[in-house]
Amino acid sequence: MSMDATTTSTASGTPMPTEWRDFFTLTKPRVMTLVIFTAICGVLAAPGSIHPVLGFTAILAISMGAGGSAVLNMWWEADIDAGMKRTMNRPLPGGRMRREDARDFGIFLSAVSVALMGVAIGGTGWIYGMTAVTLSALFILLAWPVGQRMRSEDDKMLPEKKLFKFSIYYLFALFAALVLDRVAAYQGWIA
Amino acid sequence: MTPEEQAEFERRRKARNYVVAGTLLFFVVLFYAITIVRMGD
Repeated sequence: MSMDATTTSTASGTPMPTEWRDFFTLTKPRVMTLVIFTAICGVLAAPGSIHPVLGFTAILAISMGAGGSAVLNMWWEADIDAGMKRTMNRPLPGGRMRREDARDFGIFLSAVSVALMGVAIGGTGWIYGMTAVTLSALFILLAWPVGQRMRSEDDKMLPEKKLFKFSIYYLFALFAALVLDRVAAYQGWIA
Repeated sequence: MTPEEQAEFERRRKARNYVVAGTLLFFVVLFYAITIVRMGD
C-alpha cells in the first residue's frame, strides 16, 4: 500500500496523525498575508513610535487572531465547503482532520492572540474599548442567524444582508470612536 | 499496521513534534524579548 499526504487512516482503521501542514492550511495563509500587510501599514503610519519587538508582537497577535477566525470559519462551514469544487479538498471536508481538532485549534489561536496583545501591548483607551466591545456584541447578535443559517420566507439572504450592512457602519463607528478617544486623551479629558 | 503505515505514522508524528517544539522555542524567545523591552520602559 502506498502512502501519501492524503492518507487518513491505516488499513486496520487506526487514524493517522494529522499533517501539520493541514493545520497551517486551516489558517488561510493567503488571507493572512493581506491582514499582515494592513497591520504593517498601520504600525508604520501611526503617530509616535513603538519598539520593534512590540511592533512585531502586535502584528503576530493580529495574524494569529485572523488565523484563528479562519480556522473557526473552516470548522463551522466544513459541510458547505464539501459541496463546492474549489473548497472540497480543504483539510476538513477532505477528511484529513477531526472536526474537534480544528475547533480547538481555532479557539486556542484566538485566545492566545488576545492574551498576547493584552500582555505585550496593553489595553486601549476606554472610549474606544467600550465602543469596540459594544459593536462586537451587536456583530455577534447579527451574525448568530447567519451562523445558524436561519432563512426568512420572502428573502433567503436577509440575515447576511443585515450583517453586511452593519459591518460597513461598524467600521465607521469604530474609527469615529478611535478619533474621539485620541482627541479626549490629548485634551486631557481622560487618562 | 503494515511497516509502510508505521513509517508514515511516525514521520507525521515526528514532523508535528518538530513544529510544536519550534513554535514553543519561538515563544520562549519572544516572551524573553518582550520582558526585556517592557522592563526598560
